[in-house]
Amino acid sequence: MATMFQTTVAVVGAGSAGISIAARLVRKAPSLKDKVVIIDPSDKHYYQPLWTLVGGGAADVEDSVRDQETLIPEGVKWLKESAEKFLPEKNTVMTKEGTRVLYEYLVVATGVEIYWDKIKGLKETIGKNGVCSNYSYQYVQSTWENIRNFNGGTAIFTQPSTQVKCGGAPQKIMYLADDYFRQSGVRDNTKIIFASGLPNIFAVKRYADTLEKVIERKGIETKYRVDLVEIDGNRKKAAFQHLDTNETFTLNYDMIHVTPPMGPHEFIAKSPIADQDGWVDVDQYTLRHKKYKNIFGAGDCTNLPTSKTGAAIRKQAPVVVENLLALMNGKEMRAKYDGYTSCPLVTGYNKLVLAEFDYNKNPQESFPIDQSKERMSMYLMKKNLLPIMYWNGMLKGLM
Amino acid sequence: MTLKKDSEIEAVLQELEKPEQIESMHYLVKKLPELTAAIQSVEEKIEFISYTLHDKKSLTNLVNQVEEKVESLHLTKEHLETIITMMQMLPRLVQLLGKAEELLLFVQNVITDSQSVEYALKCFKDIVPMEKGLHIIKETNERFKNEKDTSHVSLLRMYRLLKNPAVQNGFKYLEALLEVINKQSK
Repeated sequence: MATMFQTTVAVVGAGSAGISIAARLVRKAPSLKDKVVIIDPSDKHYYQPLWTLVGGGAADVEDSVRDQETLIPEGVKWLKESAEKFLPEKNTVMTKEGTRVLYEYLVVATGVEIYWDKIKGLKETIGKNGVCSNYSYQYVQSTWENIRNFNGGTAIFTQPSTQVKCGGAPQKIMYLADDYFRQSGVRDNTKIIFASGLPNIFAVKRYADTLEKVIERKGIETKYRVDLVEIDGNRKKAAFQHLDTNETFTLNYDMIHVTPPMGPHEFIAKSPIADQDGWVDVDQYTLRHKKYKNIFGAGDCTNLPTSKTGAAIRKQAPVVVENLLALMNGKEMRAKYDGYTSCPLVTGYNKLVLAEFDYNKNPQESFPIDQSKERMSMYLMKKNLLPIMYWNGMLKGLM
Repeated sequence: MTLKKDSEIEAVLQELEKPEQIESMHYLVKKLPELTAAIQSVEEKIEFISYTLHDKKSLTNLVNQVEEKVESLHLTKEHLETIITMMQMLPRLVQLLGKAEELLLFVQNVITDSQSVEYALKCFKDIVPMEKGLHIIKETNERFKNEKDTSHVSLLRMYRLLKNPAVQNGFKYLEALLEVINKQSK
């Protein structure tokens, strides 16, 4: 039976963005307690940045997951259902379970969808036949299994031409693998190939310069502007398509780490709140929807022209909250998001380049040291401090 | 000119004939006693303020009392200046206090979150391999306790001990150290 749920603020999605925005809202405006509802069906919440280290055998997968119910902020209601339809003209969100959520203000933070089936044969072979991926809790340990048991041959690491969450992750795992192959004595009889749909190793020159040197030092072969289109697990063959010439070519592999293509969720793409590419259409500075003035968007589901990372969300959440509260109180929206994003580029065990930049690809570094260099201190921060800051600071609306 | 005035009066009269205007007039007439009382009350208060301002004796008393109270606080010019400075700093202080509160809450969250404490300890052990060191000491203690060797350490035993790679390395280190000391002292 269809039910109706009425609320002041509805937040669709209980990921990094949804939870931290809801937590901030009730902290900044205690009068909103019990007037904010998060709509999300997931029982579990994953700290996905740790999966690079899990795949590299440097962290435990159990440390990357918590029960969602322990993270829903106090004073925020949780509707454990899946949002299915947006009716912005009626200030309504419909769920798959049939609930009509009537809101005054809406925050959309649904994240990004992984298109596993866009690579022919991938679903059938992932987790076996030397095929692995860090992009799923289910398969992340298969990456470490493959790296640990690798006895030499060809190891391929792919990156699609689509937007992905954390654009640096596809190469981070490759650097860890290279380090491990050297430690285990198989690097001399191993060929590592980085096959990427992008035109270069990194979009920001300052960090690209360092990474080019890392690639050279490690003896990694690069192939740019190529997309993985098919995997034959039994014959250990991977087919690629060149994005400029449309030509296809096949590579044999002994292990392949796949970063699958990603894009907007279908229910967002088909809704009136999406732009022509299917992302939530928000103003890049205020994060308010361009057409529907009582809707805001944050995180990976939006069309913000910046890299989709948790660090970006950390800077977007306060902007959404401040502007949403200003709007509620009839004040001018003053908070602005400058496109800040960060990518902790692990270049080996105990080495990391902390890339931080804005919309204009200008570095926005937090520490008074040259962050374009590979540093152990930054690696220790990523591994040891960031998870604690995430669970206890960011998700509590404190940082 | 007269014609214009007449038409204006006519317009006003027409306006007054409207039912909502009549209703409003009726309401005002009904409320007239209350409105008069309210106006009288305001008048009295204004008169009171006016008398008080002219009553120098009462005002002097009042000022004296306030001054006595302020004097008892021993406030100096410095205090007043500090108050002004503090008021100017308030916007920044509130910001800093907000950050301090956030930091405090974060620390509170971390120490009450057993999973995070466990994770931090695990990471600490990874960085400082204390367990290995502790394990060596523990096993040595156990062996020493269990073996209860009462025999003397013979010269042969000492010779065998000297051949142990760890002891050999120690001697080599000592040798190098003595060489360096010797070189530096020249």
